[in-house]
Amino acid sequence: MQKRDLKKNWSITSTAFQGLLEWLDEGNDSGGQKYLEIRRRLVGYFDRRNCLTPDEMADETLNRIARRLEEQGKIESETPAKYCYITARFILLEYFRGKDRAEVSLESVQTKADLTSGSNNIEENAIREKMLDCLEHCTNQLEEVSRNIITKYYYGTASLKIKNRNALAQQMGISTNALSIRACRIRCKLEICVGKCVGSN
Amino acid sequence: MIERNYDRQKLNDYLLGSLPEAESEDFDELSVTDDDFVDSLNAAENDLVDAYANGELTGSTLARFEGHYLASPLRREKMIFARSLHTFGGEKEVNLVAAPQAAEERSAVSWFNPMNLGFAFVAMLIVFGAALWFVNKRSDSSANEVIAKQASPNPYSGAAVPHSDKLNDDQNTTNGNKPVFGSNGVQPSPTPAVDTTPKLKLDNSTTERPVTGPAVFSFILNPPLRGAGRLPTVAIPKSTTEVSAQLRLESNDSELYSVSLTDESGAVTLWSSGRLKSRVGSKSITIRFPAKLLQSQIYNLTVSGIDATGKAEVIGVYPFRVFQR
Repeated sequence: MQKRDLKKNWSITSTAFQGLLEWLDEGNDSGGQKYLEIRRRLVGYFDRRNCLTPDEMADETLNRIARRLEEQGKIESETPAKYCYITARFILLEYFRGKDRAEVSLESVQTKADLTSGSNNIEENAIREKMLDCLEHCTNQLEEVSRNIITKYYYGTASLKIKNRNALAQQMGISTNALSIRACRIRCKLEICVGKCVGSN
Repeated sequence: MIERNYDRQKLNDYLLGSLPEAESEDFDELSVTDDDFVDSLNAAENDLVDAYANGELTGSTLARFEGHYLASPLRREKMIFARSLHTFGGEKEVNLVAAPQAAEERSAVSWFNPMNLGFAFVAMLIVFGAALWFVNKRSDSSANEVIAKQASPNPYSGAAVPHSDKLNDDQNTTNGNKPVFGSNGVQPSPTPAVDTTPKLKLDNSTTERPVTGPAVFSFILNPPLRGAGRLPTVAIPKSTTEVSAQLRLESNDSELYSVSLTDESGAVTLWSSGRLKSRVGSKSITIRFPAKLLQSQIYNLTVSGIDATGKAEVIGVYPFRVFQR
């Protein structure tokens, strides 16, 4: 019982966090990029499983791994990502048992329901206005090649878009699949930058 | 780079929550552990969200997208980002188009020195005199024909047909008649020939000159009147590819405007413009969007004025009914 309380009250220390970063990097210092990427994937996983607090659950997953690393010194697993998934799955099961759902405040649920109902168009417009300003700022921070890709790849609708993409891939001498992955990564960067920018405004 | 293709349909089903549970669990694991899968999934998600933002989703996919995908605030944020990106892309396009126009405006301004104005005045007098002579000559020879045309009922009044922009320009210069605006506030424009000439003549003109550009349907909406009873109705031919709407404003107080197209309830935004400027010398703004966004139902065009600080305020909602023919 005492051990369980200790686990529950455990909070991540800078040493434990550093240990987690090194473990995720597998010997190649990524400057925290691996951590950010795995966290993003975990958030996506919990979100696709319709959890109300995907960010908190992703943090809980990584905290548990950091704690285990601190306690045991190492973790035996095929890959760090695989172990992250296994841990995340346990957390999801706990969530479905209703343990965490009870802790979500009614206010939080209300806010999310408002957002999903589509009734709050004014708020959406306000966010979009901010996003447009931030897009200008973030696009200017991209390298010229990336800026060129992002503006051409996502321009147009239906058949025009497909034609644009084929032409761009041909121009760059790469396959459309490789182009789609490149465009997607640039968009992901842009989305993160815009998210930060909107949040800070 | 090793490229592995994942079945796009299955990826979409996974994103829309309609993949069988066993397959979903496999995808769950790959979505955390497999770099290639993550890339493919992200690309599929972006395309799906963009398709929704552009109004390209239909049927059960649309229903699942709205019912399942948009149930998450994080995913809804992705959708708002996609719409913003789309608008941003549109603005870039507008900027590219606007550049030569600005050059034309600059060259027009350079004409306004006293010497050039003198030449312009003389040239105008010559053109006006020639036009007057031509009209008099023509009215003498075809007066009976004009009277006959005006007397015959026109079954196509209040509607317009798709036309290319080039064709539209031609029609404007070959027909001086003004369209008769209905009391419902919708003004098919700028194709007066469509309103006042028999269909046979129009069909001939379109068959003689094949339309190579997009089939554009144009109309004008007047400022909505409070308590006005009749809803403006536009009959849009199914072959139309783009819709151009000129929105007349009650006042022109804002430097910039934005317009969004929503369904009748206003809950679903189908299209949004970038930042627009009103037309020089007139209280109106013109927008253009894909015709496929519209079906036979009621829509709203909401105009917002944007002030110097970037704050947007709704200044008018223009409801209209679409009838596809």
